[in-house]
Amino acid sequence: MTGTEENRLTDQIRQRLDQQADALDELTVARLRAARLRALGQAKRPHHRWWPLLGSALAAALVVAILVWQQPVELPGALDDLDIVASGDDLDMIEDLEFYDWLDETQTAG
Amino acid sequence: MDRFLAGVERRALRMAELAVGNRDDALDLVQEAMLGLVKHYRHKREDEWGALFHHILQSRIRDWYRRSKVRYRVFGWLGHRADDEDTETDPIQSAADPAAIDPPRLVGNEAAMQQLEAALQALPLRQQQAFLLRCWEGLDVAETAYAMDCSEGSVKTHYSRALHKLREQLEDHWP
Repeated sequence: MTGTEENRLTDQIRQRLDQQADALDELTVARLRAARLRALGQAKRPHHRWWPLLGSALAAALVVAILVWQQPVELPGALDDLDIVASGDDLDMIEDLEFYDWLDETQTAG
Repeated sequence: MDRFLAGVERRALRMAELAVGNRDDALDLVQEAMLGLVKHYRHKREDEWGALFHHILQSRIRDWYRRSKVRYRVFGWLGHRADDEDTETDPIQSAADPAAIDPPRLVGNEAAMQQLEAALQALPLRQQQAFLLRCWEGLDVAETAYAMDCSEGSVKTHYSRALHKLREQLEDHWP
């Protein structure tokens, strides 16, 4: 097949196919249009879905932050022990507790 | 995007319909391709949308054939043709054609349409895809290869074979 013959055949085929596409019935055209609009609408939907989720998450975080901020802070008992441990002098005293007991008993006996 | 889809939707429907043989399934496939393009590629350059859209559509058509293959294996009542030397066992390549019409039996303008329809439907799927994408949709070889998910050499081979078969079937009956 020469290039000219090939072009003539493909031109004819293209022309027939265009005619067929242009002659689609109204129902099919409407279904295509609906499919297109659905596809375009679908693309916008995820953005809308994120906002309520993000808003809820931010609101929940804000409530938690306010509750924590307004709660009176109570130092746990362990912090008292921490103060003692942090003071080097007191720690020496604890380590020599037996000596101080002996000294106390000795002074009392004396 | 709306303008692009409106411009391509009719040809896409006809391509899908020629491939799968019924309009409802073809409409579903076109809608899936539209959804895929809008969802994943709407930010791409407009001149890339054609190849991307047809890449999705042709992929959906091949998926449709794979599902048909499963149905064929399970139920064994779907048609099967093996009219191409390299597509004897692949249902994607050798689409069933229950509505095939013998082209020489038809006359007149309407008959010419039916001849063309029958001749295109009789092509193995890959040849049909290559021919329609190149000849009708106007994609170049590289874009067609991307749309069909194959090499450019395969596109040329499929297109050449399709053209040869169409000429054989149509030349005696077309002016």
